[in-house]
Amino acid sequence: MPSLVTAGWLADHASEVVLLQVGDDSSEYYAQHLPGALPLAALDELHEQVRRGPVRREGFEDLMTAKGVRREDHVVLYSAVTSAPPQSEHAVHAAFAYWVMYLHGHPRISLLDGGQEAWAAAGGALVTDVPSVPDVEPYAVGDPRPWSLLGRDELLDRFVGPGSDHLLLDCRTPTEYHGRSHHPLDVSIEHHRMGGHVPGAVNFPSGDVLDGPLLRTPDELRAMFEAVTVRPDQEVGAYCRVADRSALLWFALSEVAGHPRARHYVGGWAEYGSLVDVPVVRD
Amino acid sequence: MTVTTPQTRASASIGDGRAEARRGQQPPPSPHVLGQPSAGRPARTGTPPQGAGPTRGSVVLWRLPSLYAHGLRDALLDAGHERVVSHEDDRALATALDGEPVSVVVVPGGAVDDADLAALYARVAVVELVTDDGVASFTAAVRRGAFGVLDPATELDHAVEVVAAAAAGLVLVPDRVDAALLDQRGEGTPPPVEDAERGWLRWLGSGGTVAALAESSAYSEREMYRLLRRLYTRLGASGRTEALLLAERWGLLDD
Repeated sequence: MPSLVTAGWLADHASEVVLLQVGDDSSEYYAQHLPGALPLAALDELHEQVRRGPVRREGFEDLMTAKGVRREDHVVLYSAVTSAPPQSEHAVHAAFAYWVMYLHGHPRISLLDGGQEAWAAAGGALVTDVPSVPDVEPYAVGDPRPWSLLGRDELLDRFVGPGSDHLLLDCRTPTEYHGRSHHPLDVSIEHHRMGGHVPGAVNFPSGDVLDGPLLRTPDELRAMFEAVTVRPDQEVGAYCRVADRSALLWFALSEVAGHPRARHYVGGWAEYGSLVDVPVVRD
Repeated sequence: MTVTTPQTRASASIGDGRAEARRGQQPPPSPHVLGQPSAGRPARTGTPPQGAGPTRGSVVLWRLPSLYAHGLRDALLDAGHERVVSHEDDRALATALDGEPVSVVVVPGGAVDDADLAALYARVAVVELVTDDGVASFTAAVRRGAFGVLDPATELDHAVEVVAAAAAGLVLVPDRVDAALLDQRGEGTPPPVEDAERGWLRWLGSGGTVAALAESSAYSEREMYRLLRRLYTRLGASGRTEALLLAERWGLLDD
């Protein structure tokens, strides 16, 4: 089962898959989408609404049922990637949806390389009609993969500090990584979130995994990861600010480059930078 | 002590650290700021005018972090600058200014606060090494009179370009600064937003879902998204997150 499919492949197999367009919300979907696609709103549907974190098992099962997804379905996810940079800002939503489905053990998932833009560039039609959702039996998670989620306590225990053999990839921009910028919602004077990065984390901006709207080849990605000292025998955790860009990096590392021990620290800098009395590196 | 300015070739004497312009001689004009965004490269329109590139006058690096100064010095010499010197104290700087013509002085950001050095900004092209690559730091340096702005993460080949441009009286504006300076969103009067729409933004800004908003507003989810997309567009946003950030800047989320 390919984790990454092309527009050409999708055109040949459209009737065999469940197609979901993923955005921060679904406003772009209702503007236009691939034929047969249904919307998936990352902010509203892939996150818990009260406690912070990705949607938990029960919510995920309800979500899949609501989308008409059966556990045996091959789900293809895509975003409405535009040609305007940074493409990574759009591709991240589909990658995050992929990771959530992977976390909950959905067996057959693929990402459409280049998203809606690649489909349109290949001559694929875009439509506005919304298909009906098929009635399906309630979805039941089978073999989840909780290990792919790296939590705060384990990160502090095993990835931070001298002697850790594991690696963290900080996929924010170099400016964020070096602690020289802050999000508009952060009020620096309050010191409620510090700037910098986790000690030992290597900066690998998530946009680097893309070549235009498309993901780089497996060989290219492996060479890039090797260049930042990623080894196949070590655990590698990816993080960004809030787990969107890191999902793209995780996907490239785990599903394209084939790293067997890739993990996703979903707390991101939004969490780590707010913790009291943890080591922070700021250049 | 004499200083040669980049454009005018005028000279001025600096006695006891205070600039005394000779009659009829002009200080360098205000920095000419070029800026046209181009993805991933410093903004520059066309080719710098004749005179840019490696300078004939000295480039002085003053009180820069030693490792950075070493790297910058080597890069400038490799690029063809004839003379690049590093100094740490005021006396050494004054001696340098008193010697061969100096075209550019690279100083730590904020050095202009030193009254003795304020004269530099009127007599020689100053490039500031600031501590971050934020827009505020860049614009503050240019307002102080800097002809170039570097930060520790600036790649050396770009730093060489900045110094060369400064020597020609030009300021290279990075894409991010240019874009920020051109971005008027979130400032001034916001676009018209109806009371109901403000309520939608507040709902979404507090973590509410579109599905719940649609239900409470008696719209279908599709119609709700259509209305929201129209609102996002009016705010100049491409999506919900951007719309909420802009709304917050405009005070639209306030009670």
